[in-house]
Amino acid sequence: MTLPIYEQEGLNTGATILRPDMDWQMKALAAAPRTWRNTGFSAPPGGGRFGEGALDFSPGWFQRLRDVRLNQLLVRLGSNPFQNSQQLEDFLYVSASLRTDSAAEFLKATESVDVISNAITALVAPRQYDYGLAAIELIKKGQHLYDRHPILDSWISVWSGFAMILNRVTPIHRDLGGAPEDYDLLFSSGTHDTCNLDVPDLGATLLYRPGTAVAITGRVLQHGVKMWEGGERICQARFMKDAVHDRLGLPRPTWVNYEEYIALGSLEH
Amino acid sequence: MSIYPFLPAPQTELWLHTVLGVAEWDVTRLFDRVKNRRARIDADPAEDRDLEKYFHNPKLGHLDEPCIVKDIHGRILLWYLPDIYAQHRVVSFPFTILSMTK
Repeated sequence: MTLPIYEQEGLNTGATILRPDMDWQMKALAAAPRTWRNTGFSAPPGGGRFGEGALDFSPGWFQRLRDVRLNQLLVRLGSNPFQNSQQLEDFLYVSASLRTDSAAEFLKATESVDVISNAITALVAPRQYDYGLAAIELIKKGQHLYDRHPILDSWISVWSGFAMILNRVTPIHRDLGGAPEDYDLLFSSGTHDTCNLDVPDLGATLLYRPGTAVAITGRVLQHGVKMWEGGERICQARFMKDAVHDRLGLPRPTWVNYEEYIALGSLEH
Repeated sequence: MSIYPFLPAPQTELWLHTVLGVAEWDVTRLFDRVKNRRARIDADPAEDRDLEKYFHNPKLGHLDEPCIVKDIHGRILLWYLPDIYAQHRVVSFPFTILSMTK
């Protein structure tokens, strides 16, 4: 099968489709407590082409503020305001952001991005790919879901979900949801021409222009984007939720090792 | 047997020509140190100083070419793939991912 792939423009178009949802979310966030995840936005005057905002999409995850690992962290901190926290037998939910007509249109417009992202995942993290695919197949069967939704038929990614981040800086952080062995797959798009992804644990600054992908062990390595210039910035961050895979009875992947790739060079074809 | 039996020979060669960075620490031990920490809101100098006692980070500097970074035991921590999503590239894609849907 040959597919014409226009990945960057596909994601840019998808971002414009989501703009009404983003605008609605930004209004809702105006009354919410300020955290680094809902601040740092910087769209051009008038909102530009993409506007600003950040939304998470998932075909099957635990309800927000009921994630078992968040609960464990709060217990360690001596504060647990969520007494009815998620248990591993609880149902998974299709995220509210994915239940909209614009989300369905977005998935259709960015189908080619999903396809190539799946291919990248299969190459750089084959076991994570296998477990991710197994998780999505289990979710689509429906028995682990609180209720099924037709949008699941359009979900072709092996990832548990993704965040769309429009015109926002990202402070240095680690992501809590994944297993340490899991990669997050970050995809830079938009129209900007200057941007860097900082990874201080490696003493590295990666040029992060549109079209760049970075598979990073984001549970372990700190990463962030301090600024960008020359246009509007889109980041699509794909993630796998360790608690979801645990709920579905799937193991964590083993670490991807460089020696496995070196061995490829000695193969006879 | 290769874990990538579907990968044709010419493409396997590509992996051997990437730039390689090495962190001289064990990522599992770094994770042991950081796993209970809160999500960071930008740099915390005190926390960084504490980690630097045990983990001497590499200084890979500015990177703009494809590369991978591994830890001292060969675990790959990061794949950097610039320009992999091309704006006007046509890809022949043999996978059957789309069979998952509909």
